[in-house]
Amino acid sequence: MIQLRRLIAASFLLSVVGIVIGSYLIWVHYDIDALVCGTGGCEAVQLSEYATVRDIPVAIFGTAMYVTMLLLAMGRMIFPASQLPLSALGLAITIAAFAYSAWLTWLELFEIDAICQWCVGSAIVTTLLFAIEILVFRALWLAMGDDVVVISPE
Amino acid sequence: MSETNSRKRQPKSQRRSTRQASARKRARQRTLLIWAGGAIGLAVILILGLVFITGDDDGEPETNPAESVALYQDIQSDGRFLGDPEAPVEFVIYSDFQCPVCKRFDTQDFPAVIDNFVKTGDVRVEWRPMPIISGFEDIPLEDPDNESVQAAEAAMCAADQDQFWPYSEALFTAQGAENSSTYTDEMLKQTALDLELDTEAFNTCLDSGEKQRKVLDLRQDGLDRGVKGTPTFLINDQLVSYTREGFDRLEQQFNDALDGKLVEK
Repeated sequence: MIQLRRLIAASFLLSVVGIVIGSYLIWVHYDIDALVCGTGGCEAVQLSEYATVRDIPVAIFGTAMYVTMLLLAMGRMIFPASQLPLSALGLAITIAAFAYSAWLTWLELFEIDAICQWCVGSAIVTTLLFAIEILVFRALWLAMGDDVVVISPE
Repeated sequence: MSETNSRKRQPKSQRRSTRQASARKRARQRTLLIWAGGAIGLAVILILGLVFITGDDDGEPETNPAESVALYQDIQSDGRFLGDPEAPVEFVIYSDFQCPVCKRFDTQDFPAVIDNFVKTGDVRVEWRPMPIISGFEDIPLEDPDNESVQAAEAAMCAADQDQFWPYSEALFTAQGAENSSTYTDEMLKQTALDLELDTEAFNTCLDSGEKQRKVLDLRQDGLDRGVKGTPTFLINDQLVSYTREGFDRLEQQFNDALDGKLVEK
């Protein structure tokens, strides 16, 4: 069970990283002068029509997703008995987030023709969270031989 | 010793216990698969929801060239300038026809600037070229394939005939992906023809490259003033950035300038 424990801890840490990136992107959305960019394309991406959905910055959706994943990681640590439903919810959210993030990256490359390093960073975090949720399900499957599936230190 | 023999020697109760454990394992795995299937189903619903809300908000409004040209009618224009020369506020726009954010400003915010401040005689607009997009692909400024410079030169040629603003609208309307050969020599000349410019004068102006020096000088002047991207503005010589608030921010800045206050960046 130690592997599951590590996976949940990694999900927790990645969610924190995602919240930091997402919060920064929300901030610069409203104050573009605060944008620090090494790729030269962040401004174009942030001011493009794809940066908002119905006037809501896309970064708010991303940050909300990371907050949810953080709460799910905490929930799985505190309530191991709810491991399966919470992991299923985590898997569902990260599948959708990964698909949306892949679409946004495609837009950056082929529609906006500019790359925003912060957006790429967020896309990488989302991909890793998705991979972790798959590994969580694999770990749960392998643990099916045990009588009780809980997170416990060895 | 064969496995069959060993199983034969297992007591009945132990065999039953093994069967029960195996059944329990299968049941748990079935439960796991059901939850995984539910997760995938929920993911599909979430993706469809995202497609629905983003699909319904598919970007900027379509530009109607006829409406755009009509926007400038009955307003005093002189070359790259638009509005009353005596207007108290001078509004300079640095832009690149290849820049998608410039198009966004042009279609979503500029009409409100014209209606609320230019037509009232409060603001006079000046356009200045800031060709930078082709530079992202290291295309030299003097290269005929530098579409940012070529489009700016063509717009300056149209300005000679006091047709800068309709020509500018037409270029933004036609905007394609950056450096995708949208603003070719042929396209720039065809646009002049479509807008019923004096094509002989326009083509001579474009072919001679006589506007290149002016375009590059204005570009350098902008860079010297601290312009780092497009669009960027000057309001009474104060450098201001384009923000997501678009017209709302500009409106406040114009009002500050009209009140004689220092315009906030």
